[in-house]
Formats: sequence, structure tokens, C-alpha cells
Amino acid sequence: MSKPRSDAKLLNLPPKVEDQICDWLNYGIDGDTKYETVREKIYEKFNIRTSVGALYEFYRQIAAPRRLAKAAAAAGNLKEEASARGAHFKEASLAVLQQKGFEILAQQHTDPKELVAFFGMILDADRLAIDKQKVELQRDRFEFSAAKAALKHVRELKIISSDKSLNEEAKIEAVRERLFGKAPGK
Amino acid sequence: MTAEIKRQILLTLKQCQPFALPEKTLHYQVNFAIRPPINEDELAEFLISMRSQKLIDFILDDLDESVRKWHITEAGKALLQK
Repeated sequence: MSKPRSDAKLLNLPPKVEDQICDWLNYGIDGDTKYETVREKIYEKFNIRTSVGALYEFYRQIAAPRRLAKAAAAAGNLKEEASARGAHFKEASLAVLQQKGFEILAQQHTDPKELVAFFGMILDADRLAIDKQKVELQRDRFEFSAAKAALKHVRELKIISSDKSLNEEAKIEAVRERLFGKAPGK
Repeated sequence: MTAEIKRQILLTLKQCQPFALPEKTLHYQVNFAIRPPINEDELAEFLISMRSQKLIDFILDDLDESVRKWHITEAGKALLQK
């Protein structure tokens, strides 16, 4: 009985093995996408002997088309990623980011995980900007409440201010208590 | 051969959905699948012809309007399923 051709072996692999080989060819092994490196790795990991020619054919027929589909899926997932991280992009901005992300993955040997990590940085920057806005809003609200309370108690505050029996620290404490009540634990 | 190239263009763009593929990347990708490979001008002719048949369409890059990005249309998808 004749041995199966090495390219035939590669074109009839279990899905998990096929996925792994696609990833090695598309994104490299520690950045190395050479056929020879991948060929050795396939033998080491799956005990499958193949040729560079067969590997090229596998890349042409299976791995390269899959890279596009995987790129599209990864770029599509950025929307959920944004939502999970609480980022608030406008729909149009997100669409532009997704399209650009797809193009990066489609053109280069960029692992989708790297894109997600990069996108995560953008999302975190967006979240930090939102957090900063929230802090500013809280400060504005506090200042407004403090001003409102001060107006309400203006006469009492004047009395505290002119009370010569109190030192500076005691005056501040008295004003604070007058405006906001007793501090917790006091 | 013409039919095979057209089919390959449609198949490639179908994998990219819902995104659009820059022409240069499309060229690279199509040439992986067909023999003999075609040059950029030949690909451009196919693309224009297929666009006139409403099988595919393009958008221009936001930053560089000389870059066309192609996507498959519903008619293109329907043709692939035949």
C-alpha cells in the first residue's frame, strides 16, 4: 500500500490540529512564520511529517483564507470588548476602529490577541477619561452643595469666624460641622 | 479562468464580512488562491467589471482617498451560493 501524500495528510486534519497549524502559519511561532520552522513544530507536536511544499499548499488553501475570517471575527468582537470595559464610543467611531483593526489583522501577521490588547489600551484610556469626568462632576456637585450650605448658614459662620475663643483648627471644625454635620466616628 | 478569479474575489470578500478589504490586501490574498497570479491592473479590471454587475462595491479610505476597500454585496453572496 502506498503512503498518503504529505499534502493530503495536511488537508485532512482534525479541526484542533488544523487550527493550531493555521495559527503557527498566520501568526508565527515566537514571531517566526517560516515554513521550515512550522514544519519542524508540526513534527515535534503532532508527529506529522510534511514538506514545505505541502505546507505552502495548506497555507494557500486553508490558513490564508482563515486569517481573514479570524480577523473579521476579532474586529467584530471589539464591540463587545468595549461594552465589557464600560467604554462609551459613538457607534461611528467604534465602526472606524473596528474597520482599522480588521485591516491591520488582514494585512500583517498580527495575532488577534495583540489587537484586543491594543484596543484594550484605547478602551482603558477612554474609561479613565470618563472616570476623570465623573470626579470633576462630583467635585462640582460638592462645591455647589457647600456653597448652598454656606449661604444657608452665613450668619452662624460669621459668628464662628469672629469667635476669639476658638483657634483656626477649631473654627474649621466648627464650620465643617455646621455645614455638613458631625464627621463619622466623632 | 475568468470565472475562477471572480469566484475567488467573491470568496475572499465574503470571509471579510462585515468589513471591507483594501485592494492591495485583496490582490495579495487572491493571488494565493489562483494560478497563474494576476497583476494589480488585471485585478482592477475584474473589480470594476464586478462592481458594474453590482456583485461587489467599494468605500474609500477616510485618510487616503486613493485607497479603495472592497466588500461583497447581497448579489455577490447570492451568486456564490448558486
